[in-house]
Amino acid sequence: MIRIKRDFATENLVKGQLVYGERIIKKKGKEFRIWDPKRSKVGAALQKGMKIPLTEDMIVLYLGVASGTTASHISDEVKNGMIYGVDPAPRVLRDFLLLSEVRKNLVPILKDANRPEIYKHLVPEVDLIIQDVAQPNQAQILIKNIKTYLKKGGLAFVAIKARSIDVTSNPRKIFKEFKHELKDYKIIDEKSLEPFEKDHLALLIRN
Amino acid sequence: MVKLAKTPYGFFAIAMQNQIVEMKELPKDPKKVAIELNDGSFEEWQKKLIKKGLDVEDGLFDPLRAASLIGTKRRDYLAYSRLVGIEEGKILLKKAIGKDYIIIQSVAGLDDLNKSINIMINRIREWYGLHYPELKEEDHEKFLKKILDDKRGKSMGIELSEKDKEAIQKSAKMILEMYKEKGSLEAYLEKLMKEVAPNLEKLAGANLGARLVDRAGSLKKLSEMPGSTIQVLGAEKALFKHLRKGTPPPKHGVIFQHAVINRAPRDKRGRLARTLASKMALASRIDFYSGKINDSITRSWNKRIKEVLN
Repeated sequence: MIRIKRDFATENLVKGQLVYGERIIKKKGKEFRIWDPKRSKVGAALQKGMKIPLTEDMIVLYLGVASGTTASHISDEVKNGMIYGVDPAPRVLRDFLLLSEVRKNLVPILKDANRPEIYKHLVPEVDLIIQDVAQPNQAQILIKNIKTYLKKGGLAFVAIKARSIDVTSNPRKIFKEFKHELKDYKIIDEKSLEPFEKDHLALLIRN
Repeated sequence: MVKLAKTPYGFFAIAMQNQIVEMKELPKDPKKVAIELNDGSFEEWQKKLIKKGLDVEDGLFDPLRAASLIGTKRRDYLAYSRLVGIEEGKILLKKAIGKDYIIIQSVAGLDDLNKSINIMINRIREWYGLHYPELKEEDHEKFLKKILDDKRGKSMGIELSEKDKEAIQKSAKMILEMYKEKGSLEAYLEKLMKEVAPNLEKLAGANLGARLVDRAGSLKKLSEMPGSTIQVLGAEKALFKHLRKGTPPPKHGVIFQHAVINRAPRDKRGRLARTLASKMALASRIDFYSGKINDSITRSWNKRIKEVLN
C-alpha cells in the first residue's frame, strides 16, 4: 500500500482491471488503485489514521462484503491469503462472485452472518474479521463470528452505523452501548468516520 | 467424544488426539462437492454416526485443520475452498433468485414505460400544437390517432410540409406502440402474479401486489414482514419523521393505491389500511410457503370493509 498525497492506493492484483470505477495511477511500471474513502469504510478509517495491518498471507472473514468494493483493495494487499466474503443479498453477491472469478483470493458466500456455523464448511480460523453489516444486532453478529472464527490475538474491524441500529436514539449513546456489548474484548483503536460517513464509528478489536 | 468437520475434501469425525475415526471422502470436483455440501449428505452421514453409537460433540471442527490431517497444505486448502465456494455461490444464487425477481423487474419496467409515455406525450402535444392548436382531445391515445389522421379544420396554426408531418407522425406511431406494449406488460404481470403470489394478487390486484414485492425486495422478505410494516411500505419518509420527531405516523404507504382505501372517507382509511395490511401479510405468507389459494382471507377482508364503512 502506498500513499499518494492524502489518499491510500493499493497495487492492482489484476492489472488493467478496474473494480468500481476507481482512479488509477501508474508508478514505475506498477499500477495502483486509489482507495476511495467515500466508497469504503475501511478506506475512510485508514484516512482517519487507524492502523489496520494487512499482510500478504492473511486469512480474512468479511461480513457484509456486498459487491466487493472494499474487499478488492484488501485483496490487493492480501496477495497470498484468502478473503471469505459473506453477504445474504443475492444481487450484490452476484457481483462479488464475478469478482471472485477474476481475483484468486476471494470466496463468495451467500449466507447470513447471523448464523456463523452455516459457513464453517469453507471458512477456517481467520486472522482478521471485517464487519460492515448495518444491522440492529450487529454487535451480537460480530461476537458470534469472533467466537467461531477469529484466532487468539486476531483483529476485528467493525464499522457501526448508528442510524441502522436505532434511528430514534442519539449516536453517542448507541456507540457507548455497542462498546459495552463488546466488553469481553479489547478495543485497541476507534475513529469517527466523519466527514466521509455521517454517524459512523469504526472500532478495531483484539481477540 | 468426537468432533465433526464438514470440508470441501470430505466429512470427518475427529477424536481427542486429532485422530480421524470416520471419514467420507467427497469427489474431487468443485461442482459436485458444492452440491453434496448442500443436499443434506452431511446431516445424513452425521445421523449414521450417531446410530453407530458415536458421541458427537456440538459445533464443527475447523475445516482447514481437518483437511491438514489428511496431508492437505494450507495453500491448497485455501485455493480449493475458493473453487468450491464459487460453485456453491452459483447454486445458491440460482435458488435465491425466484420468479418474484422477474415480477420486480416487470413492475419497474412498467413504471419506466409510463414515465416515458408521459414525457413523450407532453412533447408531441406541444409539437402538433404548432400546427393545430385548436384540437381538443383529453385522451392521449385518441389524440395520437388524430395526429395520424391529420384532419384539420380552420386553424390559426402554421402550415407543415410533408417532411414536418412525417416526423411528428412517426413519433405518434411510436407512442401508440408504447401504449400497446404497456397493455401487454400489464397482462403479463397479472399472469405472473397469479402464478407466483395468487392470494396477494386476489387481495391487492396485480399492480399493487407487485409493488409490495418490489418494496420488500422479494416475496420471501415480504412474507417475513409484519402487517404494520407492510402498511407503511412506501411511506418511509413520513415514518422516519414520525420516529425521529414525533409527527403523526403515516396511515398508509403504497397500499393507498388500493381502491377500497383511497375511496373510503378520510377517517376510515387508517383502520382499513391496518386490516388490509395484515391480510396482505397473511396472503404473502401463504403464497411464499404453499401457493394454494385461500378464500378465507378475502372473505374476512370483505367482512371487515362492511363493518368499518357501515
